[in-house]
Amino acid sequence: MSLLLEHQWEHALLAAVIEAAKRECPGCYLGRTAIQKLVYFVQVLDVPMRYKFRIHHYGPFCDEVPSALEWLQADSIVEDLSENDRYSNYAPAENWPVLQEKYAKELELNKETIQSVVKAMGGMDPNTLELIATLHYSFRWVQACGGNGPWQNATITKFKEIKKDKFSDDEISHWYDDLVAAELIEN
Amino acid sequence: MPETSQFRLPDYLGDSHEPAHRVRCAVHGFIRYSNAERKIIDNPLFRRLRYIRQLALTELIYPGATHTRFEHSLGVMEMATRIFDRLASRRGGDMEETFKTIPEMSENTMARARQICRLAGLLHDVGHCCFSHAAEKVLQNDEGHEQLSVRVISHEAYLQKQIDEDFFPGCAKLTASLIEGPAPQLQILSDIVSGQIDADRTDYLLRDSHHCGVDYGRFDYRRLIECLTVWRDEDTGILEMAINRDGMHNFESLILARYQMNTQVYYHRLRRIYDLYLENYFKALDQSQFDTADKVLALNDFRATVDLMDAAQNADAPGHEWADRIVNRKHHRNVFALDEREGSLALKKTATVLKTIRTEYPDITFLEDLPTKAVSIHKIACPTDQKDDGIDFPLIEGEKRSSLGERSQLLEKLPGEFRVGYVFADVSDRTQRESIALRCREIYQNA
Repeated sequence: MSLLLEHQWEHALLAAVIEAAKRECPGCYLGRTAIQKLVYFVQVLDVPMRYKFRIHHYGPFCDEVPSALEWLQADSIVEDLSENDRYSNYAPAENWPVLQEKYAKELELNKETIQSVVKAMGGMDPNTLELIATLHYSFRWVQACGGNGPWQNATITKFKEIKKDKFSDDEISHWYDDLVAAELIEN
Repeated sequence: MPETSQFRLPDYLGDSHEPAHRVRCAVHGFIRYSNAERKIIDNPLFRRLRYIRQLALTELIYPGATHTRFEHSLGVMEMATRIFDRLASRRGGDMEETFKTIPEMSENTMARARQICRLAGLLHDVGHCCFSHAAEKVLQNDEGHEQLSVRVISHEAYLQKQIDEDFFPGCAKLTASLIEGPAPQLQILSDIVSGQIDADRTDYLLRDSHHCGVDYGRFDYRRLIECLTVWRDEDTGILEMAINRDGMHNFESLILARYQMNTQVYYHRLRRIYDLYLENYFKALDQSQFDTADKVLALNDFRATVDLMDAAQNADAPGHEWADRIVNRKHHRNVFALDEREGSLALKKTATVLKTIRTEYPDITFLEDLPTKAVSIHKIACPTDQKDDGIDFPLIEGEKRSSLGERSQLLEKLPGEFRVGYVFADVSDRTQRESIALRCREIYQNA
């Protein structure tokens, strides 16, 4: 098979996230919300994707990601296995190896980061991904206000402003600690 | 008697913001700027935009389209200022309270916010290579002009020092962040420059219309800006640009202008074929000519055109075939165009068309143009959307907030994006071209 469309390295990195998530967690349902959050964290860890995220119903969201997914589908690089129009379940398709070969250098450079994000978060349900991505976003807000921390109380206050009582205090503290342990945010 | 200014500047601006200079703009009238801004405008890095045309080779189709990135950038600065001033006059207190949380903006908050907005508008295209978007893929190795603009603004080898010294410490970094992705508190400033109702699009629609001599891109932007306001999202605390109910139809005209300019100018079939030639021409050149940011910044349309004309005359020159086609206007003809209503699956059918006609007409060369992205017209969420991907743009009626997508019948009916795709054939004979076009349609329908 050959590629019909032009692609950018983001397309290859996005497809690599999908491929890694499906490999790490074969039975998991990989929908649009989950992909948004995985890409958000991959980018936080300096994988050079030029997506601009802003806060949305379910946490950080970038409107370029759905367009890129549609493009990848049109070229049979990924496919949507879901039979329900309202939900998606993405998986790599027959042309993935062709794109993988084309962007081998970029993929190799970022393989480890993608792998580590997917390993840590690929199996999480969309709700948990929403929680941790919004926690990270809240941390960014608080950190932008300057100073040297501590950040935890202010971040959790900001998080609760955004998510109200959707998540319990225990859940929030638990995932905050996990994000600190993963060095994605600071205490 | 001393001449008095007809323009009253916001009270929070100091003497350094005094618009000591002005320039006449074909679209907005006088554009005024301060001494410090003049130093940026006179910097060779910005001056190079005088030699980069806004619409590359579109002048081969619309001869008036020879305007440059220089005037567009000044126009975006002006539009960004008008939008900022309107928003500040509505909810300046909320804006100040939010922006103040950023340490570099804790003093002279509103003046600094206005300044970075102006600078982001002025400098958003400073990283454009020659021939604007057409050559970007090749010359900037998929990096994009935006990344280079950010680098020029925030790197000490370029403008960072001058910006920080002449405006305020940290100004360069904040300006670059409006282009690259700002702290959540400054999102609204980034949206002023590039968002759903923004300075960039407003200026290029009006300016490109003016220079191309078409009316598609005109809309009542003054009224639209007049109807803008600010809404604080209760959940996130983020300030969002919003529109009053009275401006809904002006917003719809902006969307229609965008739709029509895209179909009639930006994605005009002949423009697309010349863009393809430019891309092929640059691909044929020695790539070491463009392998650093400095080399890309040293290029402009004038220099590149001289080389292009030389290559057109010299059969042995790299890229001769494409240069010859551009300079002597010998272009392929369109034999197939995607119906803009069709989704991305139509692209697969186009692949079948291409494969088949290449087999059936082995002596004819075909070129395809299938742009990477669908053409986005708007990203506003509408109730009929199948997917939860749209932007919820606030519409304000009294003190009540609803969503623009819920209230606008036009937005609900107009697709948010459309696909463009062409197949071109090197055939000058009209009868043969028509027969190939017919065959393409037949293959497409049966694919």
